[in-house]
Amino acid sequence: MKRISLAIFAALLTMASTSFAATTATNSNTVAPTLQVTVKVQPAVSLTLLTGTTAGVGHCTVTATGAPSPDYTMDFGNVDALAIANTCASKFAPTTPGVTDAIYWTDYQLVPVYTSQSATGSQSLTAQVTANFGLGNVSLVRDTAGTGAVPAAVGDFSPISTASADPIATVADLDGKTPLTRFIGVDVQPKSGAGLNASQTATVTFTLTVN
Amino acid sequence: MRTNTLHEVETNTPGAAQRSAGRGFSYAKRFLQPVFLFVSLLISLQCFARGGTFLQLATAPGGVTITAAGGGYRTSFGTMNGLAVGTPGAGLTATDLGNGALYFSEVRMTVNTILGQGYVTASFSTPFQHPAALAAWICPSNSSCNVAANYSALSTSGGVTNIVPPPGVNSGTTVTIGIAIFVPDNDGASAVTGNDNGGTITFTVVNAGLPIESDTLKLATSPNKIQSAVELTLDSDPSGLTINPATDYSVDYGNVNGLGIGAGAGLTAIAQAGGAIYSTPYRIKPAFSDLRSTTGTITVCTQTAFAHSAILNMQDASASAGPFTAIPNCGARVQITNTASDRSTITRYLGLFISKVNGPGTSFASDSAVLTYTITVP
Repeated sequence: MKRISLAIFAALLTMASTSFAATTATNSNTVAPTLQVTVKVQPAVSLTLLTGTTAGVGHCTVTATGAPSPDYTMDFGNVDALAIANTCASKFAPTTPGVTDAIYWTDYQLVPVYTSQSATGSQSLTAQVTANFGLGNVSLVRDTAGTGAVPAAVGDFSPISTASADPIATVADLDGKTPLTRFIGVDVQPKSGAGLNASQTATVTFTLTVN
Repeated sequence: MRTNTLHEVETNTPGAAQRSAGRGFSYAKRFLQPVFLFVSLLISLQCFARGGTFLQLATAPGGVTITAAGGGYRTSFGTMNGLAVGTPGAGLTATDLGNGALYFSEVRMTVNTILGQGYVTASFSTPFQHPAALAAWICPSNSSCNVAANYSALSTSGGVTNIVPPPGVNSGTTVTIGIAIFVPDNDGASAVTGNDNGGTITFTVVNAGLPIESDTLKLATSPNKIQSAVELTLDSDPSGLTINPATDYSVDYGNVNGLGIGAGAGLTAIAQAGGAIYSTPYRIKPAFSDLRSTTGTITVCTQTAFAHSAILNMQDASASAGPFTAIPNCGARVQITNTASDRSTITRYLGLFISKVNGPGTSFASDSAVLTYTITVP
């Protein structure tokens, strides 16, 4: 019994001389508090546009607005159906002036990135005109191939759909790829009449989906 | 009638000048006699008043125990340190004043007088054994003595402080005063640890302008003990995440991703090779007292890594933009500073690195890690 009492007394003495909490200590020259860090990791996806850099091609500047909408802007300047005006873009003159269309076109870059996606076997990158020009003589076109190959003629372009999303990339895994170069243009029809030469704006929505 | 006749005969016998002088002496005698008697009484009482006649000290409700002993009073403050950490002695409250700790308690004081009101002064009559390590403070009766702000130091050079201020109180009045010991931060050569036999406060009752009794209160029934103390706290930076003071501290980075997109309030996302770092400023506050060095070393290590340690790890930097250093598992450590001074504030940046990876299990609802910060003052 005496031995037990002495043991308890010794234990009490030990407790009295040790620290009271993890942030403070007495009769000591060291203390070690802890910090618990909590985090929730979410999947994320990013698609950014850049000004093109293809050699021998006109580069209309892609400008990030910093605003929620539109995210980027590009200005083709003054265009005409005879491909007379010179702008930032390259141009294809009409095959038959006054009959067939002219196309002003430029390259641009798409940078798709994503992380913490559980499945990466199927991705899609599309473009769709979600707000069209108000004039009947201009429309937006894209390089039909969607491979980065530089268009050689008017026939290498096709209209960007206003009704559905057009695929513009066919690579298996888009993440981490170097910027994808694509081409976009303004098709100008040889029409005449009132109200066909006003300043107009259209919006293209690019969509990256990772499944 | 006879008396009057005789009086007239006796007083009418001398000349006019003598008669006038005789009347003046008679009036002075008549009025000064009580004053002489009162002064004589005060002097007699002062000579013969025993401790406790005109002033009594007693334990206040919930306060430190006051005992009468040897014609005076005693109390005990027990074990103290400069940071007010740990549990103070029974009946005492310990408050960290930023440059030391104040251990204080209310005390009941009953004042008696001979004539009218009396007031009480206090002086520090016997210093502590370690005057640089301990100082006596008091709180006057016209203040709330349950808060540290109303206490002030007693002069150590013979000055007196009114603890029951003039004009004083009526006889038999019981007031509440406060007594305290201040333990300043002392590090380096001035560090003191060990026992101190306590100093003595002398209280003097002043009545009708004269001291009528002095009583002593020794601030140590048994020796008080000065101990060393060390503290390390973490705190939020106004522009950073909130550091919650919970077992011991916690911080929530919220939703993050390997692209550094959409950094929440208090976070800055910094692009890194292979992922992103979410950085937040925070504050490290060391404090220590009665240790031999004036500077300490602070380190940090990962006590418990993230479950997804291949994707997440914590990093440390001295600047928002880095460079960041990965905080290793404990066993190894990142040194934050080896010149941490007492009561200093160190702003540091805690980075959460997240890898940009895809595949099953690369996003999850929650993960956590535990960091251990250690301060050692040699």
